[in-house]
Amino acid sequence: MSATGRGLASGLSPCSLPRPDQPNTGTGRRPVPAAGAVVVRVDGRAVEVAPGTTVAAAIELAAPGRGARRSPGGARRLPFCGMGVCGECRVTVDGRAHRLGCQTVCAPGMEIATDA
Amino acid sequence: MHDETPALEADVAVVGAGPGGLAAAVAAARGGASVLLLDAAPLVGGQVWRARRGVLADEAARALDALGAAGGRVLAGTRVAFALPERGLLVDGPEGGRVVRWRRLVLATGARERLLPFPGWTRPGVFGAGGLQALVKGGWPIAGRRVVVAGTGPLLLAAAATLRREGARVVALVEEASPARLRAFAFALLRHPGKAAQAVGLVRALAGVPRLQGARVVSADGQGGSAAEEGAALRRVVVRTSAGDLPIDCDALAASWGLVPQTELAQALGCALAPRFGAPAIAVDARQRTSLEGVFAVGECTGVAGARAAALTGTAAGSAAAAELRGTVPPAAHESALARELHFAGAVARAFGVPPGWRERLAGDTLVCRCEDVRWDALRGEPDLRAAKLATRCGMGHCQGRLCHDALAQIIGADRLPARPPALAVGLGALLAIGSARGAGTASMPESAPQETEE
Repeated sequence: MSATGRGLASGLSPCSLPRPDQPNTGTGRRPVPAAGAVVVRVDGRAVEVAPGTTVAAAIELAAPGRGARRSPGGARRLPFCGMGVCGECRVTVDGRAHRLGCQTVCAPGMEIATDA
Repeated sequence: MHDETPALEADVAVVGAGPGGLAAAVAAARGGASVLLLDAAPLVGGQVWRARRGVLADEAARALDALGAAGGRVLAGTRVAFALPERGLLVDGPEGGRVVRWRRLVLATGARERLLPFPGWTRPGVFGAGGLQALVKGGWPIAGRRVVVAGTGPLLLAAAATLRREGARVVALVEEASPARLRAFAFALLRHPGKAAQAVGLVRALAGVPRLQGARVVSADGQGGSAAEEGAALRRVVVRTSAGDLPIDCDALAASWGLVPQTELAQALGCALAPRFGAPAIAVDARQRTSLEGVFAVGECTGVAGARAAALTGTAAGSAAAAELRGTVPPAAHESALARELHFAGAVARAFGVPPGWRERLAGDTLVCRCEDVRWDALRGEPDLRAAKLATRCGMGHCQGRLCHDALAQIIGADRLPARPPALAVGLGALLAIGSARGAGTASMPESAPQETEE
């Protein structure tokens, strides 16, 4: 078992093994050192963000004020609680619906689809 | 894809990787237990030791290193969806659902901000105070923006200081507590030199920021004032002071009214609650044991008392859990150190309570449930939350009643609310894992089923 905290879960399960292409792998820390920009696509439009940027922040950088979704009545909403409680930041990430944008870190090539 | 996925087994499972959960995990692992630490966020540290732009806080990195050295395992980005019978949890992570089997369970589910409704609070540009702080640490652009920080509690100072450091123009800090209460709190602070030094540091970091005391935001307005359409972006807030109403132009409002323990998982398991520091919390004994055998709780979910108390109670619970499994007597807790923290927490609760009469702040068209767009005038005739849910879907949206429960507790009184629904919105794949994981038993389904499925 590594004393650095990396590879903490080796042999535990596939979802806990660090993979260089996927920061959100479940080890609790980024497996790759922060270096260079990360390019993701928000509703098809490429945006370059700093390493460690959340999906919620990437959406705001790509389209300021537009947000991830609308209310049932159609009003614009932005992320609100910042900690995964309110759900105002939920989006489709790489085809998986209802991901929480504030709890998801951008990975290179990530496809983010908003409902806004 | 979930067929034959074995359950994850741990002597001690810890839910929540903030200061309390990290301390519990390290202590249990050092005590010889196999440990599995779960957290919903992609990076450990919780709210207080939150990672900034993907880099862990120093304290969190140190604890994670200690946990790794002691052989502990971490599953981040993983939410607990359900409590299963026979000491199991259904968790939903980056790769779908898994079943976790535990012999001892430590709940370190922390606290959330008390986010209360007022006219305009759903407008783009209105955030929780810690909420905006957290978003900014995740790269949300704030440099050059005019921000009003409002509500009550010491968190406002910390949030304002972070926002300013990240380049925001904090144009006002609006604290509801009266100057007399704040003076009493300053006096109590004298008994806590470490906290006093922190407070002085924060105040210094906020030098030059206009500060209003005994004042509150009455509305968050868009272009054209409070009547602007609901989705119109924030342009200004109106602050009520003893000298009258004061409009303040701004791009963002960061507002909250203290913290509330997150007790949903404990309630789903069947742990008893008890009021502590002004809010319902998980009831624990001196060894952090809950009313349920084998289940411990630590940190803010047992009463909001800060990161130091969380670390102390976490260490106590982790050691006790490991000792129980070894059949030895748990080591004594740091009782005097903890007593100091709890004394301070009491002073905070007295100085920064939520002002009474919240319903006077609502307009008929103020949304109380932002998930389902339920207005106050649709709710106020309902006798209790159950009736309100049936009539309006209040509490049945994505947040599963967490925000509107906290709001209604202030508006109509906590005694008129049933226990909070235990479910989190979870992917269908996670539910399927219940059936396919070996030895999973039968899930105890919550009263209200998750609203959202994805597969």
